[in-house]
Amino acid sequence: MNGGQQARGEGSSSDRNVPTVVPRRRDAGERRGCILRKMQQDIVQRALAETLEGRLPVLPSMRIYSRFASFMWTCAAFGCASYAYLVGTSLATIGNTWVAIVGYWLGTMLGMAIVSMAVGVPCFRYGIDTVDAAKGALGVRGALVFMLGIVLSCLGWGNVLVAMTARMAGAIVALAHGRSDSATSVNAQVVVAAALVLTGIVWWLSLKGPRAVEVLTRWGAPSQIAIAALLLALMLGRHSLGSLLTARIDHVSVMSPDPHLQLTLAIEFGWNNGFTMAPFLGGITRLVAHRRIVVTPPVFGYATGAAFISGVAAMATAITGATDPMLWLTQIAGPWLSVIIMGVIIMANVGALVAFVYIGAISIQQLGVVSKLPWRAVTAIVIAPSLIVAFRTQAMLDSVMQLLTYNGVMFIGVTGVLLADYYLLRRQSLSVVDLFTMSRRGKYWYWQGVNWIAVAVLVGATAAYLLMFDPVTLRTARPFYAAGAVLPVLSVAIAVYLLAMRLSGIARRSDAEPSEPLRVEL
Amino acid sequence: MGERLEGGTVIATGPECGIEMSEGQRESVARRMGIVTGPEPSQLERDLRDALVALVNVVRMQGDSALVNRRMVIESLIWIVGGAALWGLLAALL
Repeated sequence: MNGGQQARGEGSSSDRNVPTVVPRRRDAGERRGCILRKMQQDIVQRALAETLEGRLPVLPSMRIYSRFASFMWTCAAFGCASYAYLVGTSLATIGNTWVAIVGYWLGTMLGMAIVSMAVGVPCFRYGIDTVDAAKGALGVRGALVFMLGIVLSCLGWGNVLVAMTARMAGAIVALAHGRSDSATSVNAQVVVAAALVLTGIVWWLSLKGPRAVEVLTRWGAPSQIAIAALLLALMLGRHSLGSLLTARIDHVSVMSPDPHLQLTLAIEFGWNNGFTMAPFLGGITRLVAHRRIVVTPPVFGYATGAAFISGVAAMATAITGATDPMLWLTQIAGPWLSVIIMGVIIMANVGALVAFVYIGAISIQQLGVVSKLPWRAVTAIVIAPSLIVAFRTQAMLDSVMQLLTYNGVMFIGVTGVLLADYYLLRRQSLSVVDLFTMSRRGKYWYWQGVNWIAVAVLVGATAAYLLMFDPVTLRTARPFYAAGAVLPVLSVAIAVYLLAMRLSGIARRSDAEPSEPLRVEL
Repeated sequence: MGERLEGGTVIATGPECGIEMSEGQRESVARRMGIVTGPEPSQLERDLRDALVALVNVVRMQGDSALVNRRMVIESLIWIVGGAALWGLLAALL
């Protein structure tokens, strides 16, 4: 914001002009002027904080991601966190390790490219959060459905990461005490203490807002990739690359012996992984300063980072036969190197955790009650469930991981709706004022604030997807074999939404209405 | 006129604020910014108004301006088409 820049400029100028001799006595008017300027600066700075820690549009001059690498590492951090190792374990059971890795990378890349188009581009253009961007399609109240999905995703992935990180800390202590079976002999009290300390650290860091996310992920994601590269190098010291890429687990039944179906399954898992970024990408992309770094950093960074770590985990699982990452880690790296590796992974996970808290805290401010609270209280609300998870880490991993397998499925329909609405109906033009207008005179009011057509399409798309493919039971319908489930479901969702909106005439009516006089609803 | 109080700034938010907000909303914004609302309009109130108006108006201009998304759309499509082509190639190889 210009005012913000002026305020910062004035501040530095006045710092330089601090007198070194006793200043002359100032009259009352001058003093009042100084106080007034100070208060004006306070207000501008508070407006800046309110924007970065709230839902107001972030202007280009206020955005923090101006470099390709910094945005890429933040996006990569979401894919490189510890759960990528669990995904890798699943990839190893597809039946062909190299097909699984390449297919998963391709699918993640495709999913991320589509999510970038649907969510990243409008959030960048208007500097708004994902939920606010979705209001154009879902309605100012209907977007709360999306908000629910975002908050659940943040809580789900964030708490799984807390549980995994805490158990890793327990494993470090077990290894330090000479127990080689670190995965099974972790001390419960150590795990609880580690989870509580981690929760406190993450909350404290999240108070610093998105800049903390940028700084932490800038070294966190490269560290995760470096660790995976080290593990790969250790494996290559004992096995050839060819044997790693063709290794199979003996005692676990593979998902399919058919190479074509193996590829389709791997790509489908990748698609789903890409769609799990739909709730998070907008909250980060609104902080990007230049359009040249909006698409490629997240697509390349997230897909390559996630696929590389999961790929290393898949090879490690296949070569050792151990499905628990902590078990194969100890087998490959030995106890002492494992302690160092896990220590680095724990620290690197913190950046992703802070990012989850930040995005969850921005989204949850759609609720009027929460929006009135100060930032520290909003972040505390988002992170509070981790205090319960601290005492039930294993139960969290057992139950929630399976639910999170459906996470990407939840966002396929809404991605289709957003694509169709933003590019084909609105021609890439949203009325920002109306996105913030909770009034029946607003453009995106539809029916009592909800676009039931969009809601029906996203519910129908989710149901249709699950009919074609269940990612937990791996049950597939016949059409799945040809092109998976995401592609047909996404295409049909776009077509149905467009047709229904045109037939109902609701899009034409809302576009024809003039914008309201400025009405800000926070 | 605003004055410094313990814990925050007193700032007036009368109807001259310019932004059509309910009393509760104005109070909500002010409280989030650590500003205590008062009964009379002031210069500081106008600053607050300007800050909020700038945030919305400038972004609206940005949305209507030539900041077109063609480059980003083409970039996304390159990734999608490239990924699909690799998918087809891999499927053919298998």
